[in-house]
Amino acid sequence: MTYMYMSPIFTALRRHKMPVVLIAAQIGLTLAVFCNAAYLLSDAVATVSVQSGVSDKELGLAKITACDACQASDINARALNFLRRLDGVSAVAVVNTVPFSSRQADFGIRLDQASKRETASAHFYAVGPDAPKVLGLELSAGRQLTADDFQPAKGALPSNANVWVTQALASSLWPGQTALGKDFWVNQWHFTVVGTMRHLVRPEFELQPRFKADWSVIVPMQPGSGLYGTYVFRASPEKLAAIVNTVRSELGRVIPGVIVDEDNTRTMSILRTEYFKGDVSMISILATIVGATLLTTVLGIVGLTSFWVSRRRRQIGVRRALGATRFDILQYFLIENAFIVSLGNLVGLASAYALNLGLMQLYELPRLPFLYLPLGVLMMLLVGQAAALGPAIRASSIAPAEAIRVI
Amino acid sequence: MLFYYLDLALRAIWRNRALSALMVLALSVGIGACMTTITVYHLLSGDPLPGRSETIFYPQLDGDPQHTDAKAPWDLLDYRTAVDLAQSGPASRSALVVSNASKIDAMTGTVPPFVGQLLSTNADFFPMFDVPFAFGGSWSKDDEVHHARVVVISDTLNKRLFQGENSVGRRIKVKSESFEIVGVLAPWRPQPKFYEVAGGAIMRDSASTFYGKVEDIIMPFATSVELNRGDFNAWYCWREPTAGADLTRTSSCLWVQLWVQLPNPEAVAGYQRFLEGYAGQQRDLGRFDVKPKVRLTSLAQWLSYNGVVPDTVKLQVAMAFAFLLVCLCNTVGLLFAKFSGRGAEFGLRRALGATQAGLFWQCLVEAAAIGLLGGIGGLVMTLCGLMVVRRQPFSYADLAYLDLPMFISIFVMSIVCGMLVAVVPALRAAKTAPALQMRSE
Repeated sequence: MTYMYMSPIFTALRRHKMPVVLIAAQIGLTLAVFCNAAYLLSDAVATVSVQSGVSDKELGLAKITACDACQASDINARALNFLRRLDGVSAVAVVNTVPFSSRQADFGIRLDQASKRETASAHFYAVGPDAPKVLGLELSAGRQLTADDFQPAKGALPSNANVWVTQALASSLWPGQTALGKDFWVNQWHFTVVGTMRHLVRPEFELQPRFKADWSVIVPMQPGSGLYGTYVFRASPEKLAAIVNTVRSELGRVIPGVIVDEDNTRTMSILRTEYFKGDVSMISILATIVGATLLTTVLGIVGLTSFWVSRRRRQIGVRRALGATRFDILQYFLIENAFIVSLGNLVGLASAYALNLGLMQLYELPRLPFLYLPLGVLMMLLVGQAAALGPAIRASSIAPAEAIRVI
Repeated sequence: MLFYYLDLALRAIWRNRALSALMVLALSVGIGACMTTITVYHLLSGDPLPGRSETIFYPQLDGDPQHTDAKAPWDLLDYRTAVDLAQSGPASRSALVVSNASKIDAMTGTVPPFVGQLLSTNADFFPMFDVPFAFGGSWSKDDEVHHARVVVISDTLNKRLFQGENSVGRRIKVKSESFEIVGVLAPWRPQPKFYEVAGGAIMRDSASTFYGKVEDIIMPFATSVELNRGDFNAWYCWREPTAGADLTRTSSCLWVQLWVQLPNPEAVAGYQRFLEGYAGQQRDLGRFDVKPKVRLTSLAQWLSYNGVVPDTVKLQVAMAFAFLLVCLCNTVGLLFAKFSGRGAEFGLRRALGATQAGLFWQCLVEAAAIGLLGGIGGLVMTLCGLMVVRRQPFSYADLAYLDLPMFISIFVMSIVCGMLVAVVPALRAAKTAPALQMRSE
């Protein structure tokens, strides 16, 4: 039965070799573009939906710079005092930076004081009292930081600090072991792990490979000359925007001589949005290319099938007159389409792989996961059938009388 | 004859309006997408100093004993090395470059103090990089020796603070000191901001940071070091500095870039020898434990080493090319189908005496008409595409305009695509044998 349908299809296709080859090539290329772009898209979407580890929606950042003859402790006192009194602010802390703001302290970690080998490089968030609570960090093991943990800095960081590390960093430094109680060194500074956090993304994490995005350390530190000028505050989401506006306009007046860094005095949600602006537009560009490619191919299939239907009106009429049902005609065009699309998919699998190899070199992208290929093939088949359905239905409604009509 | 073919072509196109429109549309969108991305690529990979970039070189010297990759010394120089090379190197021009944020106060009362970008360099910077001035000019070598309090300001800053007037001779406060403005730049937007490119080979994906705008204030390097008391941002310290925040007193912190102009190959070889000699001498003096690795690259080499064209732009070019191929296949496939369906017409024309060549030309004119329409559509689509790119939040977005070479290449590309699309189907259709075609219908 099937062979009965296939035979005239092969005959017809052989007579139109070039269009068939071209449409198959087009389908193949579309499959290649689709698989790779979909993979890049999913990668970009994973980037922009990263878990920061802090309460993005309830936080605001205030940053001041450029004060030549100021006392750090004086600035801290005035800024904290001003922020605490703002209506709606529930807690305030001094930090060196937050996720989605600027990188402050990336250091190489040594697990052995004597060795020179750096096992990993992480971002060190130096934070003042209350910061873990303000940021909303989630501890997965270990203990809370106490007042004694906040020591003065020796250089950039305290010389012996009890710190928190992220689970991701802990499992890469001490695989299979508990991180609690472990020691590590950076330059002359010594650290002891007293807690592990679920997540805390490093600032500018996109410059790192994906698996290192969450490599951060929380270092409790006494605010002072090594830690001042950047403040994080918590408030209810609906009041945040208004609070940030007040901070922008008034913080400079509260502390004479300083300049408010407007790029970094923002709500955390806006910092996050700004940080991902480029990725979001990359996503839209990729999505547009995928959409346009699919649309072109669909229109190509519709155009070609319609054209063939109009050329074969007489044959269809003859077949109808000889007893073929409407469904037979419909089936004929759909099978023909499925055959061409399958041909294209064969080409497409090879070119998807080739394109991926090219992109891997260009873009440092991992190999295309296998799952994308069968999914892409299936999608092309469905899209092809959908595109051919319209013209095929029109073909099936051709009356047997067409057979005797003269053009 | 051509007019007859044109008439036939237009009739044929009109007869299959929807199909023809589809072909033209596919062609224009494909060409448009492709040329938009290529234009962006072309803009980003262009020569920032046409005509003189071959004489500009970037010396590197790396005394880090743990950094053993001899082919890739660290990107920046320490202070001592940079100053020594700039002062005693056999280059016709040399300029140190370092940039940092600084408080700026115009003291006009209208614009409150703000944090701007400060570029510290030498007087050679301006002639070496052909920097255009609107008013005034560079400071003198004498100013550098005396650490004079003079600055050159950017066109943007001049517009912001002084409404674009000639502000030469006015004073401006940088950090806590007052400076005299000696020059105002004309609009200048090097693409990329090549003189600060570094670190691209180490950190992938940093390319988009190379397209920032020129600093607000430019001042003599020595003056700036005095003003900032050596407090700059270190790019990298390969050993913990012992001298505190003063980066001028440590050889392990890298934070200065040096550019030199070497007019001919002999000068380049001479400079290379000088670098080697200097490296050995500094080891002997005990400033470095090992003989520092040195490298001298041309501007073009340095830019390509740093991958100044963002990966995303290359990716977009690749994707757009694939898309164009899809569109071409689409159009050629449809044209083939269209011609192959006109067997009766062609057979009749052949039977009435038309030659194969005649049929070929008829088909070619018809296909070329579609190609040309697609090409024109592609040009319009490219202009639209660039408009979209300019609205994207990329640091290079404002550069996305069509220049003359690109305009010409789009035109050529469109014609070539159109012809490519036309020739094969036309050749095929022309092969029609008269008798066979008459019989088949």
